[in-house]
Amino acid sequence: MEPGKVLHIWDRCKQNDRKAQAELYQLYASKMYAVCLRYARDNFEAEDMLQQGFIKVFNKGAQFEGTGVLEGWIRRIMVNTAIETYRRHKITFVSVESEAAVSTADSSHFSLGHMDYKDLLKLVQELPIGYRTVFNLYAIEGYSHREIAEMLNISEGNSKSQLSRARAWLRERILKMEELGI
Amino acid sequence: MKDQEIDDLFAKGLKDAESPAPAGLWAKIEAELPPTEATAKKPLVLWRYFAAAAVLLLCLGIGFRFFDAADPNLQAEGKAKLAQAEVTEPAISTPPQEAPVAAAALKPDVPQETTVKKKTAASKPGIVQLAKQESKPEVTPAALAQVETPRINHTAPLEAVLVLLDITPEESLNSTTAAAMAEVKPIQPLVNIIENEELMYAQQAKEEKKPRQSLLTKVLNGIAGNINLGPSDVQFSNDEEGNIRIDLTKSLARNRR
Repeated sequence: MEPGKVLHIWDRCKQNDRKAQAELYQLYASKMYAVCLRYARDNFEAEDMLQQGFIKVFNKGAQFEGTGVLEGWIRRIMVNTAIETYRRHKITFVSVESEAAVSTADSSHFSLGHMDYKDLLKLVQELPIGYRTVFNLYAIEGYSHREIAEMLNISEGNSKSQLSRARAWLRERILKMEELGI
Repeated sequence: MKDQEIDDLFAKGLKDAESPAPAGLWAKIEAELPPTEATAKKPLVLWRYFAAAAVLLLCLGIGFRFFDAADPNLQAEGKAKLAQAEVTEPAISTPPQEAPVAAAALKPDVPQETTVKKKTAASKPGIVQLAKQESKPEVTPAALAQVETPRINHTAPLEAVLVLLDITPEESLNSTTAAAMAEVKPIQPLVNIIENEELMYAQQAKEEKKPRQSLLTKVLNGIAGNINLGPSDVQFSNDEEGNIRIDLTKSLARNRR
């Protein structure tokens, strides 16, 4: 869809036009749901994030000046919503180091090149919440450790160590899957 | 596998991915969004319903207020008020009868008394004037003159009177109050009017005695009261037994008489 039309929809969204809001949702829901899924533990949590995120988008519509890309702004809102979820769950889940067994279900012919979206998402979702959030923000969203430290209210060193642990955890999982695949 | 390889792998596979959002989520989001102009009409309609309900309640309230007027207690209250009005009415009309007496009392037998009377007139001008006004049509010219004199004189300076009597202001004050009390006495007791007294007591006693009666009993008792029988000849009661005893022979005998 061309940017002009998107901005027109966005203008109507800001005027609380329900039809335009529905159109905007249709436009970005699947992309944003994919973002939420990366940060969430499961589909239900991702659904909650997506819902809260879109409500924020429509309620704080006036804050988007139109200077940047609308999709990027909406994505940031989704990420912020995910971070809020992280803050809520940090206290309860930070100590729980998931020792989930290696899933063997769909890894008959496993190799890096053949890892599809579902496999990758599954791996990310299985990461402990701290690792998952930092890995998402650094490796996929592209934030620096300083930014991540500010966002999550942790030290930069903590962010770095969380990232390296996340990588190690993922590497181990991938290698095991490859072994099983071979 | 290097760090960068892992990062790239996931970034490539996940960054621009799309995943169909769960169905029905839009409805959930829509429910939490602020109401639009189209949906904003709802509260107004609701407000109208509330207004209608309030008006209905108000009407009911007023209706009940009037309905309550038919309540026996309130009726009794009303009757009592009516009786009071009846009592007070004659009381107002009494001064004409008593005024001549008051006027007679004002008559100067001794000079001292007159001066005292004058002072009372000065201290209680309202009462005396009222009495005078009421008495005017009935009293004789002589009496009128007697009543008139204090009214003219009570405007005269009090000091002059005190000099005449040779008493201190405090003493005079005491004497005047005593006189005032003596003056008021005949007007005060409203119950002294015999007819009214009877009216009051009889009414109140009746209200107290009255037991709960059904409509039928009321009607029958009304009839019984109108045929002028003795109190024990006809009796009606609300009891479950429902005995009615009428001594017809006696009533017939009385009617003949």
